[in-house]
Amino acid sequence: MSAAAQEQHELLGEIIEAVWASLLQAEAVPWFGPEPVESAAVRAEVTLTGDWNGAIRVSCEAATAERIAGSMLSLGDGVHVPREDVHDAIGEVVNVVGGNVKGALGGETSLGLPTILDGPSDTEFNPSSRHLVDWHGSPVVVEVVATRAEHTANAETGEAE
Amino acid sequence: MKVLIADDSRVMRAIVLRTLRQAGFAHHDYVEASDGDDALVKIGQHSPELVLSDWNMPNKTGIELLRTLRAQGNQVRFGFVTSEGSEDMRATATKAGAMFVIAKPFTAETFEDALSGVL
Repeated sequence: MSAAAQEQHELLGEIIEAVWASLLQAEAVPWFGPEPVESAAVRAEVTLTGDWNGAIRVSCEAATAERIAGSMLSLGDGVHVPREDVHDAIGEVVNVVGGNVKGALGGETSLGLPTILDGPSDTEFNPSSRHLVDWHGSPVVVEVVATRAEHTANAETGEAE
Repeated sequence: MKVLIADDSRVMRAIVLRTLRQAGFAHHDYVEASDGDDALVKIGQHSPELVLSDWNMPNKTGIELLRTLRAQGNQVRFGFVTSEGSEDMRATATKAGAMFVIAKPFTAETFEDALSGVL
């Protein structure tokens, strides 16, 4: 990993720490367990378009997403959270991460609205930065992908920061 | 004091409320609105003394809501709570008459700083 890519990775880590502390009221502890299985996942994505083009994705198991939503709504353990609120919660997480990534990139870039999908992804997603966070024994994946090669190059040389 | 919280995310409205309570503002009356149009209606109904609004919302964005209020002659104190806190947005917000912009992710201290002297 280049120095610029490492810097980008660390920046995403700092954003995740701040989002976890604020929205989830929890420390963002790294996940060191097995690679997450995508089949039962909830995936929230938000796109950035303009001087930098790419997407931010947050994904985790459906049960983990429900527990995260319950925490954000200050509900007790084991309280059922409606699917609509689960999607709302995970969408807000990716929205705030995306807004902060946008702010760090600078330039003229628009943040799209979050989209939330259940189940595995049918498109390839090759992240330029990827963090695995432990949510009470389950992994949450936070990824950034640049969708245009020239902007990836710009980001890695630090021009987009 | 009556405060209106406008955000299209129910979860985010809950988090804003939780954070306000943690910041020591639990004793105020809070009204929630789910978008800009809903906020405009509820501002008319409840006459809040402060509006805390998201920026990106369907059916009238936060900045459209603020501009509509000012165009109607309503000078209610208004602050944004938004996931994008760029300098351009802050300048636009200030020019339209907003008191402050709180960027997400926020902390209780962020609300204390922005709202001390207001609430």
